[in-house]
Amino acid sequence: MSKYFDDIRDDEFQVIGGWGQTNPHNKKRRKRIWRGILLILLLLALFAVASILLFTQKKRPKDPEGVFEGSLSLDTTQQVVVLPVDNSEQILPLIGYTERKDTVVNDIELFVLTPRNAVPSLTIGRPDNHLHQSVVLALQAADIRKDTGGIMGAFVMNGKLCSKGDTRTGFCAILDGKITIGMAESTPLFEEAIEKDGFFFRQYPLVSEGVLINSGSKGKSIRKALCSKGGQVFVVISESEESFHDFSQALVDMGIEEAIYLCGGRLARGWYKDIDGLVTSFGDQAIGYKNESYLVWR
Amino acid sequence: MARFITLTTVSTLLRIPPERLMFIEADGNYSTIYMQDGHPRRVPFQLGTIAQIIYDQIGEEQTPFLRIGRSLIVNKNFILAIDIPDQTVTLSDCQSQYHVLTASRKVLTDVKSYLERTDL
Repeated sequence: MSKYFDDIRDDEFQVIGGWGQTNPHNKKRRKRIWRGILLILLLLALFAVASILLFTQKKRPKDPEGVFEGSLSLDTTQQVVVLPVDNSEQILPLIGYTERKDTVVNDIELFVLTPRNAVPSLTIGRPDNHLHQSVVLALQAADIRKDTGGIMGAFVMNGKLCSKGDTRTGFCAILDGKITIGMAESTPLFEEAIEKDGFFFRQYPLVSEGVLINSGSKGKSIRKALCSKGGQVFVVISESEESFHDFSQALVDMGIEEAIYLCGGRLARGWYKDIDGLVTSFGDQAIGYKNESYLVWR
Repeated sequence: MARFITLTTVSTLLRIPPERLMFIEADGNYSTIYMQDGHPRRVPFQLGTIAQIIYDQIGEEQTPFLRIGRSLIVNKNFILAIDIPDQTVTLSDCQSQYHVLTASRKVLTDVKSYLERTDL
């Protein structure tokens, strides 16, 4: 009732109590209340119609769910294999290896893997045994669809189209040994990879022209990104579980111009070999997927 | 009708015989109560709160109290005169108390119609 006594204008009056008496104010008040209710109903109806129209419009298909999600830690100390260095072989002046640098950006510990004197390519299925000396860096590239087990998004290997789709707008094209990273729903590099026996895959874009791109799922995980800066291509990996946003922000703050996601978390395997031949592996995926793809430098 | 309208705070108590209450005037977060004894009393209640208290305590019976606009509660039994052109309502006990109050023409027109209807 208190609201009734507060809700009065200066040109109105109320009879306090004695509800048996006629209160001429009530009729006008009731009329105003009904007008207000009708107006609210009309607005709600308009809102409902607008919502229905919006939702019935054709929408971009939702990203299918990928296999390689989830969290975990990257342990670089336990799974280390030491390769015997064969000193009898002639050491070529340009041996391939991966250079590692550790850094901290925005309190996030990262390490940067830069392949040297090596040529990138894509493979489907686990590449050469990681003991093979030719592989200096290998990381899982495209995601695998949870529903079909196929490769997520468009995938071209040696000019052969292995998968179609563009729900993830980040891409990596490898033409004549040169990597191009970018973000576009449609890019001529895809057709060029087919024509020129190149390679192409799709992933979440993280950074485009130096600007953070919000993408990926919620939650935190070990994050990996294929990056380019000043013409140099390298991989950045987080030591700790991070959100997509925080990881991408760190990449931006490192001055990275283009970056796309690489499968992260516990399930995504990979390894690198440093200049001394020391191989470091990550990921503990016990089950191999038929269509798991790798970005490999040899 | 209950014997008193009671306004209490932590440290004070005011017991008002309804038939002696002439009018109450709003004063921001306070209100001033004018009774037949001629001593105005300022209380820490907004006018709407007092209207609610009156309703809660004596509202089931017929009350003579009218809330006129946002600033006044008057006891209609003390309304002596309404002058719409002058926008005034005069309250008096025809003895010692005489107050001339202002209100809008519209509300005074409504009050006048109401009194003409109910007094007959």
